[in-house]
Order: sequence, then C-alpha cells, then structure tokens
Amino acid sequence: MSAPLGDAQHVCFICLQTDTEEPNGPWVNPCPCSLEAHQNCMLQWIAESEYEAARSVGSRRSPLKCPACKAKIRLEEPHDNVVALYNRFLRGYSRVSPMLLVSLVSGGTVIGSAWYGMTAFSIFAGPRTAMRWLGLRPLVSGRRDISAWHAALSTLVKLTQLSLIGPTLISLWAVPASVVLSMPASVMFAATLITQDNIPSWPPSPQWAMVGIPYVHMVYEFAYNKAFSSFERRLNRALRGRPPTDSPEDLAAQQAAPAANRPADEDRRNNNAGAWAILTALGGLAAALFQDPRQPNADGEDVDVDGEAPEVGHIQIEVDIGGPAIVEEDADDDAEPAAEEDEDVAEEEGDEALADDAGADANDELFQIVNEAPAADETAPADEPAPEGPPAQAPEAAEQQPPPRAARANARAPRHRPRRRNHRQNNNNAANDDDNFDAEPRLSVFSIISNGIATTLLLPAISYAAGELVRALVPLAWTRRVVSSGPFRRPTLLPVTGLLQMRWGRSLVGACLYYVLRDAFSLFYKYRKVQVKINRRVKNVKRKAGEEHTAAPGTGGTTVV
Amino acid sequence: MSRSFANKRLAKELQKINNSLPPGIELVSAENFDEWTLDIRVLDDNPLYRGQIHRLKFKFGTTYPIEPPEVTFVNLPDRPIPIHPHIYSNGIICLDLLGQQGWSPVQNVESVCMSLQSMLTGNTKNERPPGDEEFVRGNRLRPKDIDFLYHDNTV
Repeated sequence: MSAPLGDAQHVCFICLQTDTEEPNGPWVNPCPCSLEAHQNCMLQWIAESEYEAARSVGSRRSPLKCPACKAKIRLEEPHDNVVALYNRFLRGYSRVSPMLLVSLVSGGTVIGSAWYGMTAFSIFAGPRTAMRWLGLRPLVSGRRDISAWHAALSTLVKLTQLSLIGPTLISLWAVPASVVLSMPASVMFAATLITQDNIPSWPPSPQWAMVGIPYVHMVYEFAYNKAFSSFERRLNRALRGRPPTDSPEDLAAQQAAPAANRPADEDRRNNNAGAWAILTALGGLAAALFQDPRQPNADGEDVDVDGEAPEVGHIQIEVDIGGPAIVEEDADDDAEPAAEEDEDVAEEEGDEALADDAGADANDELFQIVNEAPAADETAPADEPAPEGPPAQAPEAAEQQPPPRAARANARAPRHRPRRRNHRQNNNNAANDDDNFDAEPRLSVFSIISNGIATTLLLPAISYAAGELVRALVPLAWTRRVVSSGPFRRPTLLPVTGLLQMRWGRSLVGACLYYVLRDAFSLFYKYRKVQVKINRRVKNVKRKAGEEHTAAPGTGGTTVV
Repeated sequence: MSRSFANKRLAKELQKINNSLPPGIELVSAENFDEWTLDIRVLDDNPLYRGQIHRLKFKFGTTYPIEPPEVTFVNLPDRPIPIHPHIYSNGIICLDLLGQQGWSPVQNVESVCMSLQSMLTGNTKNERPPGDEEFVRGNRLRPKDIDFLYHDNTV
C-alpha cells in the first residue's frame, strides 16, 4: 500500500505507520518539507544520531538535518541548571585547558632551563659571582639605592635570561651558520661599549672578551689552516684509499678535482663555527653576568691595565690556545663519519704544538710517518717521538705559556702509550677474530643529536674543568690575586691583573683550550685511522684441512694442492 | 527499542514491495523480519553486467530503520558478485548510504536496491576496490563495523 500522503493522512517517515494505525503518538513536522514523523520515532532517531556523533570523536558531525530537504532539525529542551552549568563549564574548560597545559609545560621548561642556566653560570664563573649577579645580595642586605622591589624585578629578568642559556647553546649547536653573524655583531657590540665609555683594558672585561672571541676564532682558523689543512687533506685522501703522498700528478688531480677533499674540510669548518658560536655565547653569558653597572668592581673584573706586555702575552696565549681549538666539535662530528672518543686527546697536543710552531716541518715529519707505516708493522716507534713531550716543549718555550703545555704533554704522554698499545693489539685481534670491537660505530641520527646536545650543554662544566686545569698548570702568579705583600687565595681588595685570575676568565680560556684539544684529538684520531687503514689486510677464509682451494691472491698462505 | 518497532516498519515495507517494485528489482524471499533477499539487475546495456543478476541480502537489526540494514551481495552459481570498485569480492559493499553517516530513516529496502542498481549502471571500471584480496582474506568484521572511507564520489 502506498502512503496516502495527499490527504489528511499522516505517515511517519520512520516507522511508516499512519495515524489510523498509530493514533496515539503525537506528530511532529520538524522541517519545511512534507516529512512528518512521530515524536517518539524522531527522538529515537535523534538520540541514536547523537550517540553515533559522540562516539566518533574528532569527526565533527553536522547538526541533525531533515533527510529529504536538509533543513536543520531543532530541538526544544527544558532548561536544566545542572546540565547547563556543567556544559558551560565543560566548554569553557576545554577552551582554557590547552592554555593551562601550555603554561604548565612552559613554566616547567623555563624553571628547568633557568636552573640549567644558573648551574652553568655558577660553574662557569663561580657560584658567588653568579649569586651576586642575580641580585640576591642587595635583596637581602637592602643595599644602597636599589629598592627591594627593583631588585626583585631585575632578579626576575635575570632569571629569564638564565633560562635562555640552555636553549641558546643548543640552537647555536644546531645552527652553526649563526656564527656568520658573530663578526658583525661583535663589531657592533664593541662600538656600543665604546660609546658607553667602556674602553678596552687589560684584563678584558667580559664584554670585551666576548667581542674578542670571534677574532680569536678567526685567527685560530687561519693558523689551523696554515698549519694543518694540507696534512688533514692528505689524511682524508689516505682514508679514501688514495696514496698518501702527493706526487705531482696527484697534486694536479687534486687541484683539478678539489671537491673530493672538500667535504671533510667543510664539515670541520661548520662544526667549528658552531663551537665558536657557542663559545661566543658563553662569553656573552659572562658579559651578561657582569653587566650590572651598579656592581662594577665587585668581582674585580675590569681594572687597570698592567702594561702592554702582559696583554700581548695573554693574547698570544689565547690565540695559541684558540689556535688548535677546533677539536671538540669534531668529536661531535666524529659521530657522523667515524665517531670515536675513547682515544686520548692529549697526544695531539704535542703534535700540534710542534706543528703549530714548526709548521710545515712538523707536517712533513708526520707525513713521513704515515708513509712509513705500511712498511713497518709496528707503527708506534715511528710516530711516537713526534707527539711526545720533548720536541713539543721546545717551541712552546718560546711561547707565553711554556710550563702548562709541557706539563700537559708530559702528563699525558704516559697515559697514551698503554692505550696505543692496546689499540694496536685490538687491531691485531681484529685481524684474527671475526668481530672487531674497535670498529667505528655507525651512529644513528638520534645518537648524533644526543651526543651533540649533551656535549653542548656540558660545555660550561667542561670549560670550568679545563679552566681549573689551566689554573693547575700555569704559574701560581698568573692565577692568584695579590695583596700588597703576600699572595692570597681570593682577595677582593686588589684589582685583578690577569684574565686567569678570574674564574670566568679561566673558564673562557679553558673553553678555548678544550676546543684546541678537541681539534687536536680529532686530527690525531684521523691520523690513527689512517694508520689502521694502512695496516689492515683482507682476511683469508679458514679452510678445513683437506679441502682443496687456492688461496685468494694476497698475503695469506693457503695450501694449494 | 523492541523488535516490534522494526517489524512494524518492515511489514509496511513488505506490503509496499509486494504491491510493486521498480523494474530490475525482485523480491526473492522475506520469510521473516530478520533477513530478506532480493535480486537486482542492471537495466541498460552496461557490458560489465550484461545478462547478469545479482543477489542481495538484507539483514535488519532491531533498531531498523534508525540504524541501517546490513546489505551484501551473495555469491551463488548463477548470481555473481558484480565487479565494481566499491564492491569487494566477498560481497561487502562500500556505500555511504549503508553507513551510519549516510543512512537516514527515509531510506528503505527499495531505495537501497535502487541506489545499488544505479551504482552498477553508472560504473565503467572493471575492477575491485584497492586491497580487495587482502581485505577479503583478512576481514572478520561485520560490514557495519568496518570503517569505510567514503572518499570517492565519482563512482
């Protein structure tokens, strides 16, 4: 029976009953078109639709529509205070909760990174200095014209600055290109300082130290390239299995196709750039630390010049130190091509000093060693003299910082030798055994990143440690501040006369030293890798007795029947 | 919701179907109000379905017509499952009309048959849905529990 829709006859479009069959149900006509239905059927359908809509979270369901004319179906509900109130609350809360979450997380992050910044700073420049800078002292002592309120505010601002330290370091690590900006920035900063009547003096104020870092970096890069780039290039070539010597043809080829050797160099440069940018940031940190003009001499940071000589001397030291600096970034870098940190850094230092001073000679010498290596199974005797202390010392003596270097070189040399021996042994083992534990780890992207970030974040502590090392190695007079007659540990009365007398200065120098050592080590690592490569052999398969096979062409003697 | 609700409605529909059905659609069996079978065929000369008749099985839940019926093609010796990019070779049909989202109580058995008929009529692709074999092999779900993505409006 077709629905007798035309007449006064109602048909529910849901249950298809007419009002004669179902006389009791109230009817609704929810939309402009002729569709009509029982109130109950309609409500059932609506409830089902709402349930389905609620079940499929995310996919927003459009409001219920008439299936024929698509008009929106409206509902009339009694007002219920509880339901309405809760719905309103739910709606508002849903709007607020993301912000709440963001503020919680970011608050935690800020506090965490402020904590990191504070720790980094206390390590880098000393806890007392950091506390003083934070302005906690005036707060407590109600000092001078600073109102407590103002002090609190500035402390807050400083805490914010502190919280930026960690992220800044990481971003500098992640975007080494930012070093491009460091030079103009340093010039501008210097100009600003001068307009503020802040004239460079010795020892440098942290601000000026910061200004200087890019130049130290530049000089170092230059020196490094002068001294080592050809050596490194040859190492790179050797690593790629090319003959290590530069025969004329090779040279020509190299010039013709320099690209082959470029990548490694570029890598190094980029990484260094990042490292130095970080160093600059640390300098900035130190600068910020002392920026508060109200407490200028508090830490005795900037004071009178002690005459030209020390300054020059010091700069030399720094350059020198800065010179080889590149290392650590390379260690990071190692991660990609051939990570390896277990070897000792120091050795290279000797090499470096030697090469740094003697330049080409050192290069050649080292190079010869490389060449010799294949011939002699025992490479050690050949190459050990070079890195060891004595030769390194001599040129150093001419420099400003003779004792530390020598001391260091000596100190580390002994540590080296056993290690080397181990290394060699391992290699031999590797040749004998199936698995080589010494093999370069192939690092995942994750470990590369985590290595890099961890190293970067540890940098303040590393700087401090290196600074302490410097302190232990240089003559006492350099690191101690003097009161009229006798030396004291930490007198605050007399102005400082040298960079190393301040903890931040030592840390800064330490950081430079660290970079130098890192560069040196990575170069040394590369060198050792070359040695390993040169001495390796393809292994023969072990044949069972009685099997008849010719030996693979090469070294091993296999039986031929 | 009681069974009687669906039954009343189905009784009405059956009444109407017994009265008249559009060409190409025939009721095969409707012995109860749980499951009906119908035959459909394409009316025009579509070479894909020429001379073929397809068996449809309707399963009604207690909430019909609030919820859609489960509609599938049945494979019988003389009733092949039509080839169509929205019909899997086990007879499951991907049609938004039969899903919770596309369904509404104005639809009925007849209209579903007509929709399927026109779906076949308009088809020119001699192919199964992508991933058909895998789906047919692996699927243990009832058609109504499958989340189809109705992304293709061209067929």
